[in-house]
Amino acid sequence: MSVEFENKFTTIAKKENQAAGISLSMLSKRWIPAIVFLASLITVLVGCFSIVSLSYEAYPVPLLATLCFLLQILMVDAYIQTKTWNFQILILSAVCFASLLILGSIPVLVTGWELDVYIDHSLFSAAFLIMTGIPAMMLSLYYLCGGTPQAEDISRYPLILLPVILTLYLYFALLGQVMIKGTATFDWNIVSQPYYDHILPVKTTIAGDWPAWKYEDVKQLGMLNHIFGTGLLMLLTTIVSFPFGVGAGVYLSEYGENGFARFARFTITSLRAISLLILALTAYSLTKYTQGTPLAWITRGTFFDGYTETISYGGSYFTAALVLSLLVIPILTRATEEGCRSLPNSLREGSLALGATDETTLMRVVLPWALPNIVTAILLGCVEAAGSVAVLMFIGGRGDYGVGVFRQVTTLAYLVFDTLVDIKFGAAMGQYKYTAGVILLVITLGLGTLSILFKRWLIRRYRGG
Amino acid sequence: MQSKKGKPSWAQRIAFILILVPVLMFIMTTVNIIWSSIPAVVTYGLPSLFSTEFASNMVGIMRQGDVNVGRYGLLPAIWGSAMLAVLTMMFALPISLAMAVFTSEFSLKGIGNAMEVLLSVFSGIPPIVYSLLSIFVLVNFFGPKLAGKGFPDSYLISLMGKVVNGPIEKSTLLGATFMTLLILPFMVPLILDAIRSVPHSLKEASYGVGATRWYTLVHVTLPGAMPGILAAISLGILKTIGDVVIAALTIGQARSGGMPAPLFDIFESVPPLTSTGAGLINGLSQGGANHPVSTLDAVAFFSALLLMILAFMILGVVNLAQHFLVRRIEQ
Repeated sequence: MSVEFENKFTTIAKKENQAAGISLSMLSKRWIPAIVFLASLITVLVGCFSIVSLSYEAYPVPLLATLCFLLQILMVDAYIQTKTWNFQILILSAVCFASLLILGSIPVLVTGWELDVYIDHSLFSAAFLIMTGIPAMMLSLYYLCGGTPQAEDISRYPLILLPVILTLYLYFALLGQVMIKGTATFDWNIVSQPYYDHILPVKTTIAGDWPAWKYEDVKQLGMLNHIFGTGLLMLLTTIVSFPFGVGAGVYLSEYGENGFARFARFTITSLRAISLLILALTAYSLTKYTQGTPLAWITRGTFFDGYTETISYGGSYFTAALVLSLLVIPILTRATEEGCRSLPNSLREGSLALGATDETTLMRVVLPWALPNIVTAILLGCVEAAGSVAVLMFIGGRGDYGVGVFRQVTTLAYLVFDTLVDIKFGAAMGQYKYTAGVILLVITLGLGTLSILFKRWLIRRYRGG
Repeated sequence: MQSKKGKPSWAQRIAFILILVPVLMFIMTTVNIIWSSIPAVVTYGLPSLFSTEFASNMVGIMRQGDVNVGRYGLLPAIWGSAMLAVLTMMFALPISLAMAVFTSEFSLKGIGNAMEVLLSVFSGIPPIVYSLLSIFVLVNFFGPKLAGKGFPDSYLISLMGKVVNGPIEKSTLLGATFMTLLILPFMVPLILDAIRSVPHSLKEASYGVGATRWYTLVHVTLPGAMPGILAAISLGILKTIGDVVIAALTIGQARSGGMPAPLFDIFESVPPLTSTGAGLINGLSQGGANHPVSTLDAVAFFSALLLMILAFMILGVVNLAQHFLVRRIEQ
């Protein structure tokens, strides 16, 4: 009895395994769905390639004709296997035929509706190939796996995987391009010396050895100040936003039940939704409204013009950090609040039961528990500060007067932006914009990775696994 | 923790002082934006600011010395923002849904974790790096495929053997492509959280009556995750209409042609509110030489004010929809 049951059970398990996976014996039985699957896979691949390239324009029409024919065979095969007519396949076959006709009839360059564009033929063929190839792939996969409910799950994979793969490809292609172009122009001299462009008196000799002074444009290409400036801006932003962000988070999680806390939570949520243009204009008006007042020494920054300290034409690192803290405080607040709220009540009650005061509990139990979240948020805030251009858009400078809290602000991101729109740097610096982009990417992606690793390590250290 | 009856503890007092600072900063920022945009309303008037005409005729200003010659109708910019947001969502929503579903339900655990880590690393890519690549995407993806009509005949060039007018350059489509890449790493984790917060009992009940994984996903998990998906959409739209740099470098600064010819022309450069405002301050667009800078600035501040109102409207609508959905799910 039991042996019989076991046999029965193993045969069911075998059947299920067969249904779930693709094995060679199954392929020999269901070779028609396998061929249709292969054809639709080729269709989708050709469709994907013809998004980028123009050299696949001979294939779409024959491919669609083949797919149309194979799908009709698949329908007959499905009837033989399951004894029911699946009219979805017939409809898909008709769609294949229709798109074949449309593709054959449209001209090489399509335009109309007074649109400001000529659209190439290959873009339409890509759209039609993917549109028909994906459903054909799903249907053939369904019959390839035996037409069971599990096969239905498996047959949805093409639909989910294609956008994911295409998007990841796009990300990696773009980042790879920055890396390739940036490392091609990489130069140690550029990284190790600051940018410098002044018209200065230079000592020359005329008429033999008669000394004379001549004004010359003394220029030196480099981005050392921009790299140091990025670091200083990250540091300043952290210093400015850390106390307020953490304090706000503690207030919202521990004492946040009254009306004021509700209002504060609303404002901090709104800060997260604030437009970058508003931040840029805030920085701009901070420097503009203090023009001519003693405050300008702080907000606008100074530079040494050879004789005295003069007020610069933009904003200082301090101003930029102050405005950036509007962006970073909400991140810190949210992280601290989440961290404090995730503290198990038993730990808090244990601390209070031992006679600890509220303050001691806060400092010794609650904040250490929230530490992984806070550290991650600080690193993410640094990433935000390093990559933000909008704040520096109207107040940034060339950075040829050194780096300091009250000097004119400049970062790597601003260098890239400025070489792109070509305001302050000449074409000489423009050839190194990809190098600056690579250094910026290394800083931001490195900090992002560090934040993930740090969070894991700190959780293990302070929360015991 | 809160000592409700007695005096507030010193920790509470310090925390109160600390939270006061960001609140005050927010209020001051808002007041500054409103106060600085008053000159624009006074000089040009609201009907002119909400017209479709965006043109500051530099020659006219220099001849007549008249401030009011320039017209700064922001309606094309508002339309540009709306078009950009809709197009970006059309790209980003299916992709982010597919990514979230793949990560949470349709992959091995290791691959899902790797995807999450990858996305959180990608979320740190600065927007300026994307705009750095706009030329690469134009040359490799759009250049051979889409050619613009806007060029005069003297710019006829040969593209891959075919003689057409020059390739399209700055357009809403290009901006939407990069905006999609920018907001995906922020949208996917929110959708993931929403999918994971759907109670396991619901899913197991669905599996229990014999539903497949796909059927459960479409009919149980995604409807249950709808509030979270709405939050992700609102975050995506806010980031899209709020970003200056990508918009300025891939769509354009300020446009003097009024509304696009067919309203939905995504191949034309229709700068959104952000880059229009930035262009007015930068002086990169057609700002008159004799123009008093303060009124031009004020138009930029006015566009920032419009953006702020727009953002609050979106937040309010999404909050209402979330309330409605949560009540329906609970029923």
